[in-house]
Amino acid sequence: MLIEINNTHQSAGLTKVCDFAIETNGVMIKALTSRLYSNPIASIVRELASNALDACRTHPMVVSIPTPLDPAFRIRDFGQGLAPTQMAEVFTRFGASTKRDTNSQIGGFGLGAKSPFALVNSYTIISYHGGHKTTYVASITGNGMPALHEVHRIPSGETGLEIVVPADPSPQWVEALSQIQFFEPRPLIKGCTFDYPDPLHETPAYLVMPSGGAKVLVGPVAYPLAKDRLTNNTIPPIVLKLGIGSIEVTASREEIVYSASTVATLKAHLHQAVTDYRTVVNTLLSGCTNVYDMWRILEGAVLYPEWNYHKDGHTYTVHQRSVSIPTHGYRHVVRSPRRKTWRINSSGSSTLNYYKEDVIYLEDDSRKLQERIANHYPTLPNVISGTDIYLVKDRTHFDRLGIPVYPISSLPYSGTLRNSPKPRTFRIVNSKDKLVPDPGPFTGYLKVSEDLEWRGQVLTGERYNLMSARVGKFCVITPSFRGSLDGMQDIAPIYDDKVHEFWTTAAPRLKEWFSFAGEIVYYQRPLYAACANAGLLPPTPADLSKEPHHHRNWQDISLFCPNLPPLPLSIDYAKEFKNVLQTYPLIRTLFSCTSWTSQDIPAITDIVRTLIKE
Amino acid sequence: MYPHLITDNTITIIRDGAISTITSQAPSFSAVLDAIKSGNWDEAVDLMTPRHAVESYVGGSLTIDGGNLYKDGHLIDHAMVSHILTMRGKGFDVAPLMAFLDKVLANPSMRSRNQIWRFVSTNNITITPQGNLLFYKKVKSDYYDIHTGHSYCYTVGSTHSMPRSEVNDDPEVTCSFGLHVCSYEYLRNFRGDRTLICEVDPAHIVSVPIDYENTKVRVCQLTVHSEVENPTPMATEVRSF
Repeated sequence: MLIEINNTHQSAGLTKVCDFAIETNGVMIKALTSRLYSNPIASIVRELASNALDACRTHPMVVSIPTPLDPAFRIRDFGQGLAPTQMAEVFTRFGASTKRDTNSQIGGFGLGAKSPFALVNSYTIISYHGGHKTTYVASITGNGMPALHEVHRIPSGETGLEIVVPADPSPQWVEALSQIQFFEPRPLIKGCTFDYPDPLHETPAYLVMPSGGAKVLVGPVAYPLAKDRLTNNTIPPIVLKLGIGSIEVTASREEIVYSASTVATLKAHLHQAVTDYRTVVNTLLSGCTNVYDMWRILEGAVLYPEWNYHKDGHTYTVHQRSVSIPTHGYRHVVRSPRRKTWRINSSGSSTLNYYKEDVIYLEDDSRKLQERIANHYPTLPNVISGTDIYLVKDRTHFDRLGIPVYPISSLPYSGTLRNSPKPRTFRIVNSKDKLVPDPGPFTGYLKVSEDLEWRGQVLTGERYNLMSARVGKFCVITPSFRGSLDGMQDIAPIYDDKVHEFWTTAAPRLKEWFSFAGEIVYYQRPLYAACANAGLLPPTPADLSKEPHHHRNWQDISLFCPNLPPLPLSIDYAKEFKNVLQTYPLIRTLFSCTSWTSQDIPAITDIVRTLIKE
Repeated sequence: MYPHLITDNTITIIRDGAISTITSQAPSFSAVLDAIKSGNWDEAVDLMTPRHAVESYVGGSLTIDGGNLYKDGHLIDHAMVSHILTMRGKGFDVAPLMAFLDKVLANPSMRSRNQIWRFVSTNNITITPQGNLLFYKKVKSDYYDIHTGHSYCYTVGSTHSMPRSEVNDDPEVTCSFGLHVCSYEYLRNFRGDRTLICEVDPAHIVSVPIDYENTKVRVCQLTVHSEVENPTPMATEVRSF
């Protein structure tokens, strides 16, 4: 890094008493090592890696972070190594640097090579140079002054430098690797898995990263940008590319010096980058015909929290995770359950927040339910949200905006929603009024929930499936009874009177309701599932209680029902779900249909995206 | 004596050109100092090289590459490696840990294996010479389970199981189907008349729910090992039973 000292100094009539000087003692050394860095580990990684990059830009350096088996931070470059005289100059003289006459190299303060002293009192340097491998130990001596010791020398044909800093394993070492994530060639990382994040968008002037704060790259070293120094707005994760020496950094090189000239430079570059990137995104958005297309663009874009986008005379407010769509002419009450915010606007120009993959809009195509709504909820707004499902009274506006609205009767079932923070039943549909007549042939799901409501046992917390089944491509689930399941208790399937009654009544009804979709196969509550699959009545709890307790375990089903077919216990839930999704894009509701895990969500999301594209 | 350097927070010894160096934070720091004081320089170097602790087991399925330990090509979590080194540092035979490792890797679920590492890193665990884990469990006075009171009778020596597919493997769901056991810390949260020690093959661990600081475990099979009248914390050391 080019560092010029060329101050104007003109004087007359002054008598110089003496020059200032820096005392060389242990205290001063301490100030330049252990007291210099606020984050020693990150500084050691950054400084030593910068030196390694300066030494060799053609062969990737090898960076090993401490592990229990090898408790040392190691960094090895494949440059020319250092001769003994160079070793003395680089490692024993603070402020000595060979790099301050050029901006082609990162260093320049003459401090970085000594940075391990910020953490430990000794470290090892192995120089492969001039046909020898020479091992040195640098240490802080008793009076606080550092010293370099040559301890071993053998012939070697290798070149380069390896620095070994004794250190204990710590997550901080892995975190510190973010300091060198933009190095080229990319360092080889050992001792942990480190994924270099790929930019979403790259130009010669800037990068747009998928996450993280705004940064400025001075050469390859990334410095965080302090938002409050530059703008009052949120800065997207844009990484500005600036040359070495174009802005000033602190001696510890942990942050930028926000001088007036640096702030002006950064503001200009940031403005240019943001303007350019907005143009890129807006160009892509202008080709969209509906909100799904917009998401395909936006899900890969990084945006300001509020980014207005004009199209067809409307203003779409684009958020990081949602798009607000104007819904003129209607009065809406929209609530986002995930964000726990209400957006109520009675001015007639309210907006509807449409969240990516979070919401299903349902058209109530059940005439009787519409009547019920009209009778019981005369002031009901157009869109009702009690959970992730929104009930739409008038789908005209949604059709115009290209937002899919599904008829209620197309739902294969209803139930609590798995991934909602406070899952609720679908209150409008899932009424406590037992007298609501069956609204149609494909709405068996109402009955399932009604039964559970009738028992007053609808789950609102963790859910336990009382009955799970699959019907062709459908997954059918019922919310279960809430048990006193807190604590360490054995939660084996319970076969009591309530469960028995439920199964003996609900199972045949489910079979009837879903006959249109194919044969129903039950797979939870093994004893009952096996019986239901075979069309047999399960043994009563009274029968079961006469048996030794272990006979109630599923393995002993054969004691009661010797001719039962085997249970489909090895269902591939994720695969099952993908099948369902490919047929019925009822994304959120289906999340409750079986017990795949959050690990499956990336795969599910991919499918959803494919569906959206199609 | 080998060339060496001892500072406030590091020890460095050069033996035949090879450098061994540790910080004062290392578990073996004081042992290394003792070895140096008594003139046992080779022992000091061995203590400073953690991989020596496992190298005697290396060969066949166990390999070291860089700072990582692999078993049958599977990376062993650092938490487990630290545990092995701690045991070794205290002078215990680490063969039970190797047996434990074998059984963990026999667990068919990668999620379960990762959760076992998490459990190992946050809890005092007791491992039998066979590599099984010993957990606690509370039952009613008649040895039946607390939840239903009649489903499982946990008499000493009895083995209980349920199909793995019925045990909830989602650690985010904190209470669900499965046979439950816990660490001593978790035991305090529970009512129950009797306290049992249960032996569990790590291959039968299904999930470690995230509540109660990872101290509860859902398994698909357990064997009641013994009953303890007045439970006291199990030490972290390997014990023989």
